[in-house]
Amino acid sequence: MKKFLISLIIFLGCKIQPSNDQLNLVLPGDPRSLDPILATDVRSGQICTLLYDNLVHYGDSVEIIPGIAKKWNISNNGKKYTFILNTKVYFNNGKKVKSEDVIKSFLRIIEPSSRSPFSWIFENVVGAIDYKQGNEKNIKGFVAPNDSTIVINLIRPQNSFINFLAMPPTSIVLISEGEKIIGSGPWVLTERIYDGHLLFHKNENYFNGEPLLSKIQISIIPETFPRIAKYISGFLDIMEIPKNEYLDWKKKKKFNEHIYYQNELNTYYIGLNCERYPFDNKKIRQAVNYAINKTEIIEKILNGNAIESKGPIPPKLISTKTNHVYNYDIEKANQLLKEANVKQEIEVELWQSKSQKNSLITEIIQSQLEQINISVKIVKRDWNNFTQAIRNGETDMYYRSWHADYPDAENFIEPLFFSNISKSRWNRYENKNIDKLINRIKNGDDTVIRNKNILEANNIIVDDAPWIFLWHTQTPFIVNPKLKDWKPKVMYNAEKYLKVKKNDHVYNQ
Amino acid sequence: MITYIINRTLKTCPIMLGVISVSFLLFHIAPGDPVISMVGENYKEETLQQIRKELNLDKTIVEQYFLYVTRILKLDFGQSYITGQKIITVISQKFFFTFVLAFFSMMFAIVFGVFFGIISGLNYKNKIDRLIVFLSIIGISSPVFSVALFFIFIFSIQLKVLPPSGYQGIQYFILPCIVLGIRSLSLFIRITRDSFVEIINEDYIRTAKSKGLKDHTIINKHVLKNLLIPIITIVGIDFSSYLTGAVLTESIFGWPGIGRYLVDSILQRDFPAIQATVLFMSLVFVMINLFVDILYCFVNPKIREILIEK
Repeated sequence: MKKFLISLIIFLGCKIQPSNDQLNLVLPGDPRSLDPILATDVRSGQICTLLYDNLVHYGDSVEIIPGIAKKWNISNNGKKYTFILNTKVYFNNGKKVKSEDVIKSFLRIIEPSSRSPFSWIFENVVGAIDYKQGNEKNIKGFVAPNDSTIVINLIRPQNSFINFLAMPPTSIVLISEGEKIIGSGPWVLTERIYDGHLLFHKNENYFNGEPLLSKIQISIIPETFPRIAKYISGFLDIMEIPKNEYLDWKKKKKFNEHIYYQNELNTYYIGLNCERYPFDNKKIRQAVNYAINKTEIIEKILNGNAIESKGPIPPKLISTKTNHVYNYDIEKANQLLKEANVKQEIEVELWQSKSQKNSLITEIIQSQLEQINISVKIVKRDWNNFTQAIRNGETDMYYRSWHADYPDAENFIEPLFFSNISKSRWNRYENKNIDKLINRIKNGDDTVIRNKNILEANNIIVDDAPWIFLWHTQTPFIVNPKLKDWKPKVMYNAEKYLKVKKNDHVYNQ
Repeated sequence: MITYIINRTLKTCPIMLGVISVSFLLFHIAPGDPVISMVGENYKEETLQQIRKELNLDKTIVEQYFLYVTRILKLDFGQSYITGQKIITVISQKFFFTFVLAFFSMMFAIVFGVFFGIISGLNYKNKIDRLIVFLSIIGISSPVFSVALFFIFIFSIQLKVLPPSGYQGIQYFILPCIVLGIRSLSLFIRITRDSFVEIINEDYIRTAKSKGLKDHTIINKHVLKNLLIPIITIVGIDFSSYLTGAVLTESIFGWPGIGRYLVDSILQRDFPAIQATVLFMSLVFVMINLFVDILYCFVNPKIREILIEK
């Protein structure tokens, strides 16, 4: 017994030290899939970028930089993309990456039996739809003249196409005989416990220079408090700051010095069902936009970590200011309701997915709308039921957000406001002019005209007010003081942790 | 005895069939669409239809049920709708972690629970007894969540002697095992103490004392044996619930167990994962109950006679 107690004391006395050669990261849940064509969530995208490479990558901001393709050329008519591959890129099994591997990787997304929801990426490639429907054995638009060149022919010019090639699903992979997916990325997955952790070792032969650290461990920890404990005890190097800790940590110097912000490409909004009373009336939609005090919510609930929306598109993606802005103005809201001939109290349901953070926001919105005699009942459902209710058009109002698939204003207009999509999936908004503009934006090549169309579409949408436009968030991260040379990137799948290193001489707080 | 075990095992078959049918019906009737969870935010409508077809979700519920039962009979649990992983591989990995956590928590609870229960019984109604009883009441009534956070705060943040979450070394086991086992520990203390006090006043103990047997001999030979029945009962109940429902402990300590997997699968409407996990958990529950009944027979000959007569 004595021996046991002594060993226990010695054991407890030994403080465990985190390794300086390993980067420790955390995720709140397991990534859905490490197969890039099924990577529909941000977590999967973040991990795919460690394992695989694309023809092109995102840089620190929204710019496109070379990836497996060392250079590329777009024809004058905007329909032909020619990529020259870097001949020093190898898959992790030692096989060289060739143009046929690129085509095979793309075909996986669009082949008839594919369960990938990303087939839309290549719908503008010549012959892709025929291939998808099983009418053709190959896609005519993908051509490999030699091992290091690939040509992609489009049906129409498409300004955002190059962005698609930097998204996780278009990663270049090799499928081994055992159906294993092999990538050429800077990290190799060596251990995975589902819902537990993922351990990566560096790829010493990475074409862009081997990573400075040897290992990355990503732990899956759903609860906030253990994540904080893990950071404070030095076992986490980068962590999104939990909302409840943010203000306190910001005040303390030892934390504040190590806080970094990621300006995200997203938009938070309340969708208003444009198909039925009361929000089938434009004036009522505009009135609720004027009745929301966004500044108050951003300060009180979001700790100031957001900027007010002036429309659906994040400011980074739109060049000029919008015409119409909904600043908090109760008088204007009441006047608009009067003009809409509203005499009685309006009763509506505001739907949200279950989460504490969302609850506070919807409750404030509920109390703010009460001021203009709109009685809001909050309805909470789990994510799946919530999404389905929106699709079925059962919701008067719903609180949601949209995050960029790729950094282009088009991604904040077409999938959200195109009549056919909105009517089958979102808040039943329909405007023929918007549909025409979207088609022009999608198929246009001239940047100046395209930007003008984007601005025009944005202005019409803001004026129509199918949403209450809320805010675009920024995420605060705290970093281990030992960690050097890390700053958050704009795109979620841009970070490959190549240049990150840890300094031995700084100790944890 | 063997006939009894075979009989009991055969009786589990209709139970499992019932579990398969009820869980299938419940999760298919409940609102929610797995395909919505699979496709993310940006997708084409035809993709939904295609995936539904691929997964046989476009068939009637009766057809789907028969397809499912046929697959189960072939021991094919299928692949997760969401991740595409083979469910049997995921469940076996997760069950390992859950089993380890449950086993060590139970060991901790039994050893310390019986030990402090006997100490409490030996000091019946004095200060030590009252202190132990008081602590055991706190143990029973404290929610797992708050105990876990309290322990992480003390041992991980303040003292920095134990890691707050993970499972890659023996030191990672200590906090979750204590947190999960603390309720059973308190129950063991109470049961052991009460049974001890009851047994110690029995005539056969008085006889043993009058024969001049020492205290520890009486405890080892007479008291502990009689304590086995209530202890086995609690072990049976608690161990089953640890193996199937330690979701909170698993979430807080980042433990990749089966409880968390079931909750996540339900939220994502991952039908194959839900059904396989529910089936597996029910099997575990039934097996542990069977094992407990068999143990009763070995511990108490009277029970054995009754069961065999039946």
